[in-house]
Amino acid sequence: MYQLHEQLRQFLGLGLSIHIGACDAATGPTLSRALAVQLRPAARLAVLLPALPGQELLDAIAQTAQVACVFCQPTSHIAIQIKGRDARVEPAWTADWPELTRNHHGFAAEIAPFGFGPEFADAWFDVPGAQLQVVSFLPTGAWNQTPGPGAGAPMELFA
Amino acid sequence: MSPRPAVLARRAGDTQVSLAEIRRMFEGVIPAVLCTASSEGVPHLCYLSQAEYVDAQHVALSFQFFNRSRQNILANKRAALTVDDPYTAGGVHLRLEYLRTEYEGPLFERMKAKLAGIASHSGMDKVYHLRGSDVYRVLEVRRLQGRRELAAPKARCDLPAATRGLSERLAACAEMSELLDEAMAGLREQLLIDHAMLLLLDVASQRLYAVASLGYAASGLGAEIELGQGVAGIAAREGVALRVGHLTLWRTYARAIRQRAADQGLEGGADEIPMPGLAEPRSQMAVPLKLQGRVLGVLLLESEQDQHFSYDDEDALTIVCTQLALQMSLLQGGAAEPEAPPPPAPVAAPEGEPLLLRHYAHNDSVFLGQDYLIKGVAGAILRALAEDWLASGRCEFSNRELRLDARLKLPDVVDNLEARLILLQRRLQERAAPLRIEKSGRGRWRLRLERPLRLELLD
Repeated sequence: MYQLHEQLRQFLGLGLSIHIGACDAATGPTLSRALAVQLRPAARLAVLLPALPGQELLDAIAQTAQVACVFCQPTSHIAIQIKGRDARVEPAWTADWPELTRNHHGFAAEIAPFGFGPEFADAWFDVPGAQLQVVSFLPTGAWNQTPGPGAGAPMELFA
Repeated sequence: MSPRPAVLARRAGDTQVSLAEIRRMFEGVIPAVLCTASSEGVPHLCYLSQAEYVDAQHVALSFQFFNRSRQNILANKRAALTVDDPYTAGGVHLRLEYLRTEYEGPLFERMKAKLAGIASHSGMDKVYHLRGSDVYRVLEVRRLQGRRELAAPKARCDLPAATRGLSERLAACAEMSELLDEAMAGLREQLLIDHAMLLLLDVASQRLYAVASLGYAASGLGAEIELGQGVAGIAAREGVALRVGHLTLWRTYARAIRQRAADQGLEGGADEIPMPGLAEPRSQMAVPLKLQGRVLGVLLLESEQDQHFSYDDEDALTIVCTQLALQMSLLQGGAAEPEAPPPPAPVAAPEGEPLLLRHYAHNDSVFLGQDYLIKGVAGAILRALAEDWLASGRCEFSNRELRLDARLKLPDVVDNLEARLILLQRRLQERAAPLRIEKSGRGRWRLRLERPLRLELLD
């Protein structure tokens, strides 16, 4: 069974700012902040996001199955974009998501040097379990998205 | 393009808000994220270094690189943007329609200056520059629901009342030195600003020199920076107000770009330039002093707090700086100065060890013994006064005479002579020098010596 490249696996375990985007024909592009990412068997990725602000996005994904996710480490500004073409929306069981607490704390530590207290991360991460949804997909491409010249260069996806 | 009614109905939990209500979110503290899509519907996300509030219907996004987002925008004109409120952790989702790219004009200049201000913190301006300002019509603004928003921070002061108080204090000043002192004291007492520096432009050398400061360990009077250097230098060069709220964040951002540029084999620009004032400011705002379309100088404000200066501060300080520019111009004198100097009172030559005053012609710098004192026009003034004293024992002089003195090489239009004399006076005081200049009447000054002078003229 193949898996994601070690470099990506390591990066996705850091405290990250995560966004997910999609586009359907009628409403056009749309995006939402996600709260955690999970490595799944067979190199699939899953991201956890609040359903309320993300409803339009979830509808677009259900319709097109195309997604783009960007993961960014705030202190280094290193960012990676990963895309998929078979995305599906799933219910979320918070018990299955230790990554949520880990990223909550990791992200809070990442933004602390910029003067943001833990309450700032709490405002984003303290979402009732019933309001969470999952989007999972098999990555089809990864690109370095760190700002500056050369952003957009493709990265090795699988080991 | 407009959203379908069905889509609007489905978003029962979302709140539609106006763009004007969320202006403060466009501070660039938390990078905005743009979502575009290719003609085939493949989504693409991109962090933006700048999302600028234009007016109640439009935003502008920085166009810096030819990338996938750019291709998508030109192909289908549709985009979505999320912006987070750095104060409350709230956020908005904007649906956008691309209209045009501006390559010149006030909007472009403002965004370019802001970007250059950011780049100046790492000397990255060669790599990191604005190609254009992409202007979008905002079709819809939705507040993101489900976040546990924090209370918005309390305003630092009652800004309109504080601005009025400062304005009245400035209006009461009849002397340049009083105006400079009141400006600094008023910033502290009315607007509760702890660190500030007022710099004036020397047109000939294209440098800015500090004539007043507030809240620094050393006054920094006479310190110079190049036009275009740092946030203050760029605000003065471009004639636009600049605010950088989270300098720690921008420093790390610039480092990331510099690393990428080095990876790409691109020139990384000069070493980081030390900023005047605080060693590690967390917020800066620079507001140009403009009069009749010209930039006379710049007021730099700094804070050790993140996002200390708001859009509202920028509005208030822009008004204050306009008044300051006008009043400084009036107090430069000219018409009100006396025609001819009264005969100078006889002054006894001082006794004691001669004071060595060295003047270097290449930059008009003056040293007292081994110690640097000042350079530029203020240095040229001191040299001229010393020469006249040694030649004829003269110690009284007027602004009018100095304006006509070819040794000073004053510009024709804006000479800031009075401000330069005050700068010289204060530098001599700071150094406890045995020679001083002091006002002896309107538009008139006197040289005072405690020791004999020896003048050395060097290249």
